[in-house]
Amino acid sequence: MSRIFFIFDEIGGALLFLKEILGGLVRRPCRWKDVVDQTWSVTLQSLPTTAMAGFFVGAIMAVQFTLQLRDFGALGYLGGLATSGTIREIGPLLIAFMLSGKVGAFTSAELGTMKVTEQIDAIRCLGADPFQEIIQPRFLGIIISSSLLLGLGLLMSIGGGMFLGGIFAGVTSEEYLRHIPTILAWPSVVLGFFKCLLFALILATICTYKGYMTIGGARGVGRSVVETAVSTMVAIVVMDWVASFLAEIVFTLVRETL
Amino acid sequence: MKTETKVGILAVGAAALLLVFAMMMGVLSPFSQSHELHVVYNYAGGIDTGSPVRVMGITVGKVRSISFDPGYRTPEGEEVKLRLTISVDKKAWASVRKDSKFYINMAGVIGEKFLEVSPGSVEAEPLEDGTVVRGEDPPRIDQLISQSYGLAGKIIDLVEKNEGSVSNMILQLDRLTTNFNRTLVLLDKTSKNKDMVRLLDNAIKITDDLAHITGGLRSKKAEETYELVHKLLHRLEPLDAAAIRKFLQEEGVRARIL
Amino acid sequence: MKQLRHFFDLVARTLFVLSSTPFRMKEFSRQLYFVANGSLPIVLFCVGFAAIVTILEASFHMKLVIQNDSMVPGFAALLILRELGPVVTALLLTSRVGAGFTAEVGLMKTTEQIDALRMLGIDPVQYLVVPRLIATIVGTFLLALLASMTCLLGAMFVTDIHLGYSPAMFLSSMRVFVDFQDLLLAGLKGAVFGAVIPLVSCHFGFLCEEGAEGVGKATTQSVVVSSVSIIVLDFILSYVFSYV
Repeated sequence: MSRIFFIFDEIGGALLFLKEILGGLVRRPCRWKDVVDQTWSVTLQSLPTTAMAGFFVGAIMAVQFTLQLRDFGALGYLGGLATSGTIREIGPLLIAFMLSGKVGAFTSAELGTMKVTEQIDAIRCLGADPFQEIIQPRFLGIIISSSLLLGLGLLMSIGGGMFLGGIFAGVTSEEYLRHIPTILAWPSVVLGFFKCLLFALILATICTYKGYMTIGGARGVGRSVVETAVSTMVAIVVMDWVASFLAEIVFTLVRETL
Repeated sequence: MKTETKVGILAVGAAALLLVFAMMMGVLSPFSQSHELHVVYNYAGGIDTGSPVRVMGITVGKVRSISFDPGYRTPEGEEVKLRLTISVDKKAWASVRKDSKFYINMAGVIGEKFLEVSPGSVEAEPLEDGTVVRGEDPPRIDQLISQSYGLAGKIIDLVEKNEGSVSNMILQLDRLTTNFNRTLVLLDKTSKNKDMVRLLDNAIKITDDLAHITGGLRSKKAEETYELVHKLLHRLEPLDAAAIRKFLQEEGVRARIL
Repeated sequence: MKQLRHFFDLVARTLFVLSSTPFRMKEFSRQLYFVANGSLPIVLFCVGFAAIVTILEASFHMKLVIQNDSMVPGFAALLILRELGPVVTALLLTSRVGAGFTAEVGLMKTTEQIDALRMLGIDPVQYLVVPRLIATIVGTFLLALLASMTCLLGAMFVTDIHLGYSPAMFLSSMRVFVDFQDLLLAGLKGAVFGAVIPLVSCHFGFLCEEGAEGVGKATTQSVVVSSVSIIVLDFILSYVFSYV
């Protein structure tokens, strides 16, 4: 029973934390330069990992779709289906999983270290606001760079699918690309990038929250990293469903009004 | 509770789900009581172990095993080399009789193959468990095509050789209709007895002509042709549905791509 | 490069001592409890949601291409067994179990407990890595089976509600695409991923540097490296299982 309440505690805590960050952004916005610095360092750091993950996600999708489509003799659809499936669903999900390990765990480890080595308290002693100085730039930086990285990962996954399609299914890249527009409609792209933004927001909130709340030395840092990664993944899976569900409702409404 | 116990429960749970999956896939079926039959074929295109067995369209069992039996002869002395062992559920067993026929059929968009058992009549004796029955060989498309080539050649031959007699036949038919017309006109004009003799005369002439024509038609070659055309139509009948569906599907795919 | 050498050193050493390690039931079941039972709720929860999304997306694409969603169950079942079940399980375990192992081993390293073990004449690889390796392999195998089946049953339920196909129809559509071996292959895939997680995380644990910063860095790296290797391995295994 207490474990269930603990989950609600965490959700509520994270939401209040998010409110505080957003409120702080309005009241005492941080320096723009800090945000740019953060964005740059996070993006640069995670670039190879994300690109690689994206490439392989695309490759896996292509292999699986090839197997299915070959039976129907509809390999021409490979490009469209694999791309659409990757952009709408698998791509954001798996790449966000990667990022939760890379960016999320890294940030919460960094913040957690600052917390347990009392650097955050030191900032407060100096009369500065730790939210403004540390949390806000990281929060914004993660959102911006995660969206960028997810977008890049999706592009890489198209590349991966194309590469694999060329090698194993014998679908030339020209043919692969030609069929993308027939299946991939703009709502799918919008949905994919909406998911990217949403996941970035979740990632940024949870990792700053968990990092900021770290207690208890090196052991505490280890624990909060694990908790960040796990809770981000769970939150991402749930939000993935919510987003798909909402998107379906919204698109039906749009289609009806048009 | 001891740690070991909890771990054990988990492992047992996983094993139980494995069994559930096996039952879902029909690999295990401990609760069904079924009877076995051996159906022998010379050709069983596309049937696999696990393909469903249907009676009147309802799945009542499946193909358990396929074995090659080169030395087997039916009681009638026919050599039949392929033996499918099928299971039939208890509930449908009563419908399978001595005069049931065992077809190999195709269903669904993706062309799943299944074994269709036609229900026997109530007068026929029920089959014993484990009887060997002769199945109806499905049409082989490759053979069919080569046969129809031969048939077409024969028809052309026939027409070329008998060109004279065919035109002769048409000529006579023409004459016959003229005669008949005249007779009809006469019949119309005179309903009196004095023309009866002429009428009879004409009737005799007509029957003579008819006999001549039908004599031409009854030649041995023509009869063979009829036989072949009949066979071909009979064989084409079950093929039609699948071929048309396939054609439509391909057209549909092409239409979408273009 | 040095790291890579250290990693393969660790793998070779683990394999070398694997046969000579006495089987400690208590430790094994403790680790298995941590890996399997501890992760079960999260894994089942995530996989349940994944099932819903898979069905929704599969029906979207099927309707787009063939204007008909009668093949959704089969296709979704295939995707679940081949990819979703094992991969989602493994990725979740990477962050929960893998990061946990790294933090644990890393702390032992920084607090010099590993040196203490060595002083006592106990091989740290034999003492720390081997039980974790075996427990994680067994644990991921079990979890991959449980997760795939939960996902399948969830998908069956969602299809019933969302698309109106009864469970019987789901099953008959599934049988066309899926074989019995597919579930075992899903478990096997899980077990392979399960071998990667403890090796990578113990590797980073052994290399952990002093202090809170060192632990944080080691855990992050371990999560990233194991997730990437899982995705790459998944690609290789998909290819091997499908084409060989």
